[in-house]
Amino acid sequence: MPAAGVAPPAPASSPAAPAGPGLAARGGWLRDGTPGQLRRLLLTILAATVLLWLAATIVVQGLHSTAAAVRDQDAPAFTDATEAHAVLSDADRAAWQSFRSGEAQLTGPGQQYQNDITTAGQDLERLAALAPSGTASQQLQTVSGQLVNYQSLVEEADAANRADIALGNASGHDLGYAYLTYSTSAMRDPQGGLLASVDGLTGADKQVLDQTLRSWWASPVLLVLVAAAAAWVLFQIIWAQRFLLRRFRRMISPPLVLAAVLTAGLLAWVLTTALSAESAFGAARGTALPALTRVWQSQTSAVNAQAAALRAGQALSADLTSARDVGALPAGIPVLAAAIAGLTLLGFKLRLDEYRR
Amino acid sequence: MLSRSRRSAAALLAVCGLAAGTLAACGSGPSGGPAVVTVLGSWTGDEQAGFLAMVRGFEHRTGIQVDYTGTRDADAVLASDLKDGNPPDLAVLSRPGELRQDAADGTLVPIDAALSQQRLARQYAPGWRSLMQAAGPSGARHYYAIIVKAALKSVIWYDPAQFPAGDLSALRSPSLTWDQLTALVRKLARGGVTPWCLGLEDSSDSGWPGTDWIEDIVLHRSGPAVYDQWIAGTLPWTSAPIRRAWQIFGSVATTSGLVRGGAAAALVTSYGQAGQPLFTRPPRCYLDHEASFITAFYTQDQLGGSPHAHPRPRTDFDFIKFPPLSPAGQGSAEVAGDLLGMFRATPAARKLIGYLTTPAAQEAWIRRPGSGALSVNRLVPLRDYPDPVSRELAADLLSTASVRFDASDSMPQIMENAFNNAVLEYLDDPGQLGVILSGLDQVRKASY
Repeated sequence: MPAAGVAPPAPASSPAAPAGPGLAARGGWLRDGTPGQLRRLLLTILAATVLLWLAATIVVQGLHSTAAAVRDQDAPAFTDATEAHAVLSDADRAAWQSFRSGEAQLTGPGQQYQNDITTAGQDLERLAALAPSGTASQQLQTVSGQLVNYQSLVEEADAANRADIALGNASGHDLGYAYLTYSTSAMRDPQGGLLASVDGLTGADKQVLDQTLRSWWASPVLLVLVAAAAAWVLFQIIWAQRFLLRRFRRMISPPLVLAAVLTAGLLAWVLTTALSAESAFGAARGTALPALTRVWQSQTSAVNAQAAALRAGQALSADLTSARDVGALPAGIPVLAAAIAGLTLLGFKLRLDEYRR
Repeated sequence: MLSRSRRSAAALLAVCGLAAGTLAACGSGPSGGPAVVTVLGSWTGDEQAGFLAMVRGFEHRTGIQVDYTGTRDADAVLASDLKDGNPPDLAVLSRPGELRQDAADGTLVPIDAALSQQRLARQYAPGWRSLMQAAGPSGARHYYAIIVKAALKSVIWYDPAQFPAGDLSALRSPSLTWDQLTALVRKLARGGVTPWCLGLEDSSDSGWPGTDWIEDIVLHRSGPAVYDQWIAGTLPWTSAPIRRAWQIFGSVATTSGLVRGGAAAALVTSYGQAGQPLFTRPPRCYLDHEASFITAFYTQDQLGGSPHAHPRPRTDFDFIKFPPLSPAGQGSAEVAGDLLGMFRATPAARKLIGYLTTPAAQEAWIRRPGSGALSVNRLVPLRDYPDPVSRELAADLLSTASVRFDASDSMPQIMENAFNNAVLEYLDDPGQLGVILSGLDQVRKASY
């Protein structure tokens, strides 16, 4: 947009109209004097904008998928395995309590035992849905087999206990308690028992969760990439602005100013979202996960504690909600990048058009 | 439970999809990881460490990863895996009966191609080679398993440092008979210490230490021929030799003062912990009828209650052979072995099977102090065993004229389970022996 009363500058070299669409003429469009310089500047800014778009997209998509994986996969797997440990431990306690109290004569191992086994079964089902094929799947199969085995031993204990009672054996129902002892052994044997196998799952899940929370995608280091790309775009726009001011003695180009503002805005948006997610990851890593682990440890050492307390696992998910929520940024990045490119094109087009007239 | 790298790759691929054509650097294909052999077994703790030591050389040499899962309930887990149609590549089978069953129904894959017949003939005695074979679905016999390690079952353990010195020579006499041992046991009982240690607990397999007792009594009283008929299901449980064996076992296990804690304690005592009282000061029992692999437990026990001192072979624990109850039972021994069968034929699994039969692989396990493992590979030198007790056990294992595999392990699985449970019921109520044996006969008729 020429400023009023200012004559067009004499081009550094004549913007001679191309004689035809010859190869030499086409190849010279980047080299020819001021128009060539303008085109080179334009291409540089467009390239920088594409780079910014790619860097921001990679970082935001990586962040988004990492948060989604933690929230939908790693954290639920860990909490399910942890809960399975707690309820199985409680099932063993409940079965013993039922036998000791005499309740077993009427209800077998009891309602609490049944509830715990049902919950453990549901936990394992969810884990199976989350587990990929391979080692984790094989481990789950082992746990499932051990759970069936444990249940059959409790059933044997129940049957033997009833038989002892029916026979009027006054010696203390030895066989029923013996089978109950075997079931406890099957569950609590530190070397390959049911709980040890579940702990193997929990450990693996915790390791994956921990690794994800500390992954590159959850680290602010990648933001430097975006910031560098944005800085390059800004630098090129400012350089172009200076070039236009000096060469054409025009006022500041509004499209280029707007492009610069959008670039800064996009950078701020990405930084705000990513840092907020990083902070959520940090909270999950530093607070919720250790808290959950502490609850698990206290549950392990005190089987009588309420298994429901382990539902504290939900705090971990809550922490990660904000990490997962990148808002409209995935859509905003290409729109803003396109706008920056469009405005830059517009800013240069006006000057280049002067050479075509 | 997706790995971080897979998720990162997925994220990158998604971005690459967006920028297709503009960023060539994103195009990287999935890399094939190392081949993996999944193995399920009942070895845990030190036994697991022994197996892992055994396969370490294989992993280094071939780059194939061995992914081992150890649980005492391996049989139940394997049954569940088979039911789900997702068994491990290889699994440890402690029972030839299970091997025969799985081979006959086509669940197991023949391993002939993984083995060199000439090498096998050179390394394993015909009896052991026969144990590795079974009839497939077509009726043709093939190799279906290898013996990873073996155990001598007809042994009785004692602590030479604490056994009454005056009775030690009688106990160690090569001509010791069952009657002489019984007299010695009663004498010890009169001295105020229960002579026998006994523990029948082993999770879902509880009861088998009692079946070992009964099997040894049948073998050493009625001889191998009767023992074989019993295994084959042609000799009723209610027959005189079998009934008498139960009664003799009962005379030990259910007689007040002969077993530490009585039958009720034996029911809930783990077989691995039953021998611990041998090493307390003073001892709380003197004799422990356990297979040779129990040394792996002994070497972990506390000596005299000290957490830092552990029983040492020959000094703190030694063994005698199970004494004959009649001339027919002389010169026989009961053995057991852990068989490794293939459920999924992969090149890596075949390679591992081939490797595990080699002397080098077998030596890796038996050399470990306190492993309790014995090899039936004749090319494994006795000098490779880490102590004189394991050397003597290995020599006995290879030289005993009449070797018979554990009877319950050789029976159909249903029969074996019933046998285990019957032992528990018998100890709970010895007066029910008639009912128990009739019940076992019912199972025999249905399972053979």
